[in-house]
Amino acid sequence: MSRPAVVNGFQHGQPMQQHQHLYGPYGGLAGSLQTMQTTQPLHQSPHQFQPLQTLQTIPLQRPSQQRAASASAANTLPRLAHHHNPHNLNLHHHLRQHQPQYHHPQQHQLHHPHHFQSQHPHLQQHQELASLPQQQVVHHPTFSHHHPLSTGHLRRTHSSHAHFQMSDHGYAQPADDSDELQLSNAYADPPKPTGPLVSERMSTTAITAEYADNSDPVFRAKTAALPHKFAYYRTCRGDGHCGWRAIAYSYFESLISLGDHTRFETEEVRLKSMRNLTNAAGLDETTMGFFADDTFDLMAQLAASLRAMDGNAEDILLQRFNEENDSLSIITYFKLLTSAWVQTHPDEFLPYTFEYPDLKSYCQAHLERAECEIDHVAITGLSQAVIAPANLGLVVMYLDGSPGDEINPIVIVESAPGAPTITLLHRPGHYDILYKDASVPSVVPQQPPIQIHMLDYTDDFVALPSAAPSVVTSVMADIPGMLPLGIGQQWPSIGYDFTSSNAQPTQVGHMPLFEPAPAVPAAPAPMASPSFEFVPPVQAGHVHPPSVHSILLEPSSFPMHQSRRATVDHGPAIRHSKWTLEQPVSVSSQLLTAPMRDSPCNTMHFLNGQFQPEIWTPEKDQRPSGRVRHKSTSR
Amino acid sequence: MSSVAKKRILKEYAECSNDLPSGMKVIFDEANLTKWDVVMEGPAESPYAVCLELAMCFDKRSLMHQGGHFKLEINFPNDYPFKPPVVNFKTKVYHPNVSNDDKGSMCLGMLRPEEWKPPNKVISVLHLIQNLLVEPNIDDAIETSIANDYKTNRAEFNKTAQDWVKRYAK
Repeated sequence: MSRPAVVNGFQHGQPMQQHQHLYGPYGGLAGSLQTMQTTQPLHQSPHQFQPLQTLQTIPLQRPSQQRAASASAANTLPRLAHHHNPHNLNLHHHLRQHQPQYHHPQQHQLHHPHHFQSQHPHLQQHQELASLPQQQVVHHPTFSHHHPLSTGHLRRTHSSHAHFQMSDHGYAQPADDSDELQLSNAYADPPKPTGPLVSERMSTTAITAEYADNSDPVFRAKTAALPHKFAYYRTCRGDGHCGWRAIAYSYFESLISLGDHTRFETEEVRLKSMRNLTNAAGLDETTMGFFADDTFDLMAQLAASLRAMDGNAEDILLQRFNEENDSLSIITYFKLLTSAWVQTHPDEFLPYTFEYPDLKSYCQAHLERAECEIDHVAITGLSQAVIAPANLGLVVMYLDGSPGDEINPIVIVESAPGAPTITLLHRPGHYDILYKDASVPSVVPQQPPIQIHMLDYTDDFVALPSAAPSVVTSVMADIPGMLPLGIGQQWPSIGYDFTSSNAQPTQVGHMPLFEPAPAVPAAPAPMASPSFEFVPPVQAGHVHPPSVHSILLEPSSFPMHQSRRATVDHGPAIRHSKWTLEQPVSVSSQLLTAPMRDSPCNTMHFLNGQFQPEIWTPEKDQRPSGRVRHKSTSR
Repeated sequence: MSSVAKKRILKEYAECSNDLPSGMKVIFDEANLTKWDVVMEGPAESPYAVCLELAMCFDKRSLMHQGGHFKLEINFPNDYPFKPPVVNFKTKVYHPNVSNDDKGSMCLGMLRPEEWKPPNKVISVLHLIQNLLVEPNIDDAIETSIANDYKTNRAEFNKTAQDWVKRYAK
């Protein structure tokens, strides 16, 4: 799994040269980068750029704020008992300004130069961090890597950032530094993020595969362990709204999973009752109304769907969230509610609004702006205002380079037992939604046999359309834990001849991507922490899984097929009188149970008054053989 | 353009008609909601107002009405209100915050995409524009030479501004 050190060195060598080129005028920075690169795999550096020295020196410049913050940290923000972690989340939120697409692990090296440039806004966060109690710093094991960098370097990068940010928006171009100008131009027109605003549910093995070539074993190990805990994920488009969108989407989805349409009504009433907060925060009611209307409109739609039990709620949600204006409108409503909440809870949030004279200006800049990513204050505010009162939990799985075998969970809101928990995957600058497999709104995940939806309507397996094998293959790739763990062979119902052979290449292709998994869970269901799971009991009956994952889990005996074949296709199994002789006689034999076959009521029984010996026909021979085949495979 | 955006623009227009800054007029075409034509008089206390002959203008009111007439265009993007409206001066104006080209674009403060807040309203944009004519924002100037003129040689600035008003903003 681990690449030879030579390879790493070679890979890292290239961006390093680039740095020297780009940062020519800032020789000091380039020098320190080299130091870092020799000690650290490259891609880690963005998150680990907070040198210990900075943390210790900066508070001296802001003694008052430090006092305020540490005082408050002691007695406020009970949910921020984990707030060192939200802070860490925040460390990266500025990165996104320069990197509209979340950083793909394989792009690390490509983007690397910019990571350093885009560090600078974090200086402010260093200050935030610095003013937090020390153990939080200690808590972050990666900080030990930062020694090579001194505050001086950071300052310098900070000043260069000023140029950078301005040029980013085309207002000013640094005139004095041609290297930097080049870099700025590269960023002046960042690639527009593409992809669905919220995607279909996909297997987390894709994330594992994404990091399989990552040079850092920590990332490989953590992402390899991910599918064991979280089988599915949804991506959100990395357009700067992903965190907001992920939480908002999951909020609705969790409410749907409860299957109770009255929950939407109570939520609407509750959110509307926050009007006094928004009024107090000076948010104009009529403008609030535009965004609120869209939100409540969606809620009404979802409630109606739940009431009608038509199983469309999930589809409606996905579709509405993929309409940009709808989605933005709802996000904006949540942002404004968060802003109102933060502004009306100064005791809790004032210590976090460095550089801003008051909470209002902070909120306007960090919560109300159209383009602002979610940061730790936002997550805390939003979860207090919207998530926790809805009796939902919120956990952020933070994938970083800190040592460990698994992604660190950061519990923002602890959920009550049995209540749904929203789980997000946070990679620096980007959020996705994670799902335990138990939360997949399909039926009983323990039952191994799998039936492809489209096959359900195909009577004769021989006559499958040619596209089917690839469908099955992709479905197999989506089955949690299947490819890495090789469970596929144990799953009998996919034993139609073509599936195993076609799926095999995929499996082989993915195999090397995974760490050898020592403990292979036999079934994907058992989870370490049951509190995270939300099993949607009511939902299960009437929600269809999204089309891509149209997996219908059925009992191993295929009762549907057999009954359908018996009743629909081949007429009644039992011939009641001789007047029904036109019915094809041949079928009955294969459908009769053993007692029936042996009973005198069976016309094939010699004691039957209408005895009719079984007649062999060539067609008949094929059908039983088909049946025998999956009987044998399903054992 | 989404129905939400249309609804919102209509609503904002209704609000504007009640609360328009003095000396402003919005020409609104129901068929094309996304483009507003605005005619604005130069505020009396700015160099953008034309004082015809002082002797004739005894009271301030009549003086105000002699102001130069500036045509502006406000274009609402498709994803309004999640992106700011785009403001262009159709009449040439000598101002540090208005680009001195055929576009006459204005992009500062709340009009910047990264500073724009969806709850912002056009009416506040109109107020912003009027205030800028009275007092340019030098720190955020798009025309640095005009800004310099304003900072260092106010009399010269006023004179040029007045000349331009007479030439272009009749």
